[in-house]
Formats: sequence, structure tokens, C-alpha cells
Amino acid sequence: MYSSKQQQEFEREAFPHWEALYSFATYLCRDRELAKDLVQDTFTRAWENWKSFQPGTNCKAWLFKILRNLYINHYRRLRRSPELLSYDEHPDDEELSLELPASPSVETEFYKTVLDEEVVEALYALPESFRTIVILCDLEEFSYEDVANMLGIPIGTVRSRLHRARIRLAALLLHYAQQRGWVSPEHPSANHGD
Amino acid sequence: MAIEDRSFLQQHLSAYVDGVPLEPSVRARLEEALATNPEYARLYQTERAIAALLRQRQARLRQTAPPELLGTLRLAVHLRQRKARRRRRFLVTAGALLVTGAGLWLWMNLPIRPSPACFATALRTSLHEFQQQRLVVAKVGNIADLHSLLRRNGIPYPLTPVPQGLSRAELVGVSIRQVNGYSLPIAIYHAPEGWLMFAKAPRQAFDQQRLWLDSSIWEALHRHEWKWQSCDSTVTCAFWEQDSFVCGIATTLPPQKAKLLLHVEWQE
Repeated sequence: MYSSKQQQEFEREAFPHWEALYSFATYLCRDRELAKDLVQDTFTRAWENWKSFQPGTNCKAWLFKILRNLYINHYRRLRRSPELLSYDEHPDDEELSLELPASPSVETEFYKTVLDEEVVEALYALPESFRTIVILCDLEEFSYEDVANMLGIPIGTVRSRLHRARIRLAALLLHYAQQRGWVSPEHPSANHGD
Repeated sequence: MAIEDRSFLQQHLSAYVDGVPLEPSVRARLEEALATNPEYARLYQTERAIAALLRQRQARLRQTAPPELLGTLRLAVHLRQRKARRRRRFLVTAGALLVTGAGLWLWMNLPIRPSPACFATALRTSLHEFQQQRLVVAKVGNIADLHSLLRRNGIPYPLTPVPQGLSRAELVGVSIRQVNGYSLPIAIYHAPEGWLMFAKAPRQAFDQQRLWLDSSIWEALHRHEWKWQSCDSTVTCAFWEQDSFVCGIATTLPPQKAKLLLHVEWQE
């Protein structure tokens, strides 16, 4: 049982992160309804354990950790669409790098023209462990330390997994563009926008 | 790309792209590799472009939360608070009931030590009740029957020896008086001069505070003397100690006659 002061603290510290939590939950579950339930469970669980939260520490990271644990323990099996690849089936980075365009400057320009929907689609297509790390590091801007603590992995693993996830995401974006006839593997910018 | 170099690149390129401080030696090795190896340079450019793409579009790439979700979340937390309050109330009530129940059970089941019963009063009262024919008496013909009856009623010691004068009186019966949970055996004798009651209890029962006697009686017993009491004009009592037993007589005889019948001959 918490006092009204603790209720106010919870309101002030936890509730500002509800939208970020929903976004993360949606990327994890790939299902908006499931994501709503997950966020709701996260908030009730956070409220029940509010005494264990240390004031002055990163509340957002604490909430994200609760959400991810709930997802792993209860929600992962409820997803309607299964993951396309398991972690062990990730293609080697060397294979992926072959799909990358030959010219770095052309490639950089290409990414500026990618549609948001394509990026979201590519994020969804990433394996779960890669998707999680990209969302946490690049969209939510958690530090490597926070992410390592959240996922229970060493910082070195965070760094290497983030690198592989970004390269994989780049390859996926190029792959989509090629499928739609916007670029060719040899000349990425040639057909772009056609 | 050599495996060692690829592992090195995977380990540090993200941190380099994100501007995380690296050890000078690591940074130098990385920058040298990027400057000399076109494949490394291309990976670096790709990762930098992707990181920039994601960070520039953070707000647009985040999944938009439905506005009504915030109200749902607040309601869920509120309901959880109420549930916790209800659960606390339930636990408090259940705890109180449990404690009350346990107390009640203990009160009903634990042996409660009664206050010690007065040996002298039990003896006198028995005589009064006998006179008023209210005392329950089991008739016995002899000492052997008496002891058999006592054993059957859980009294482990015999009501012997009796004063010699009393042994010449007629054994009429026995009564077992329940006083505050203690069973006190009382033998009833009839002498030509009147009725006598003889009771006996182990000294241990007094030490355990199941029975008690007035201090004036104890003083006499400690001096190994008989203590005579004449409570009223109709009852005479005498108490003495023998072989770790406290013995007592209550009789309708006046003191002189009782002493003549018991004490004098007893002393012989």
C-alpha cells in the first residue's frame, strides 16, 4: 500500500514514458492490441513494485526493463506473427555486406530518401534481438550501459549486436528498394525515384 | 575480412559511430583500418548513415500510442490500488480472526491451572454435606475394597495408615471430592461417639500448589505436631504429616473426645 505522496511520485516519474513504452511494446509484439495489454501490465507491475524503484535513477530504463521482462515471460508466445528468423539464423555480416552498394556516398544519399514506412517495415523484419537493440539505442537513445543492464548482457555484446543490427537494417532497406525497382544492386541511385 | 578484424570491427564500430569515447589504442587501430580498408570504410559509412537516419526520424518512427490508452493505464493503476487496499483489509481482518480464533482455541483447550484448593475446607465441607446427606458416598466393607475403589478412580495412594483409635471405628464408605480439579479421597468412619472423616494428600500436591493449608497449620506440621482446630461448636479438625503425606480428620466429636479417641491413642 502506497501513500498519496508515492502515488504522486509514480504519476510524475512513470506516466511521462507511456508513449515510449507503447512504441517499444508495439515493435516487440508487432501487434497493437497486444502492445496495449503489455503496457498496461507494465504500469500495474511497476506500481506494485514502486518501492523497489530508487529515486534519482533512470525511471524510463526501469520501466523498459519491466516491459521487456513481461514480454519475454508472458507475451512472446501470444504474438500472432512469428519471428521470421531466430537469432542463430542471422546471416553472417559478410554475406550482408555483399548486398550493400559499392559507393558509400551514393548509399548515404539513398538512405535520406527512404520512406518512414519502409524503415518501420525493415525494423519489424529484423530479428527480435536486433530489433530490440536498435529501438533502445537509436530510437530511445538509451546508453549502452542502460541497454546492457536492461537486457542482461555485457556492453561488448550490446556494441557488436548494434553494429550487426544496423548493417542488417541497411541491407533490408536496400533489398526493399531493389524489390520495388527503385535501385539496382550495382547502381543504387540509378533508378531511385522512378 | 579476417575473422579477427571483423570481430574487432563489430566490437567497436558502433561506439565509434555513436561518438562513445574509445581507448586511444583502439581508436587508432580502428581509424587506421577505416583509412586503409575500403570494405571497413563502407561498413562505417553504412552504419553511420543508418544511425543518422534512425535518430533524425526518431519521432516519426515511434509507434503512435492511441490517446485513450493513457486513461486506461491510469484506471488500471487505480484499480490495482483499490485491489491492494481491499487485499490489505482482507488480510487485516483474516489476521484478526486468526488471532482471535487461536486465542479462543487456547482458552478452551489449554489446561488452565486452577487456584489451589483448601484441604481443610474440603474436609469440613464434606462433613457438613454428609450431615445434610448431600455427600456422594461409595459404601465399602473393608480397607481392601476401599483401596480398590480408589485405584479405579485414579488415586494411587492408600488411605492408610489411620490413627489407631480410628482403626477401631467402623469404615462406612469413601467419597472422592473434586476441588478445583483435584481429587481428594475422604474415608468416612463411624464411632460410637460420632462421625469421623479422614483425608490424606501427598505433600507434593501442596508443593505444586494444587492444595493449600493455612500457615498456622503448616507451622505445627513443620514442628511434627498435630494441629487441632475447632471451627465451630459442631466440627473439630486435626491435621498432621506422616511419610510425606498430609493427613486430616474432621469429626462431629468435641475436641476433647476426639483427642481422646485419636491423638492420645495415636501417641501410644
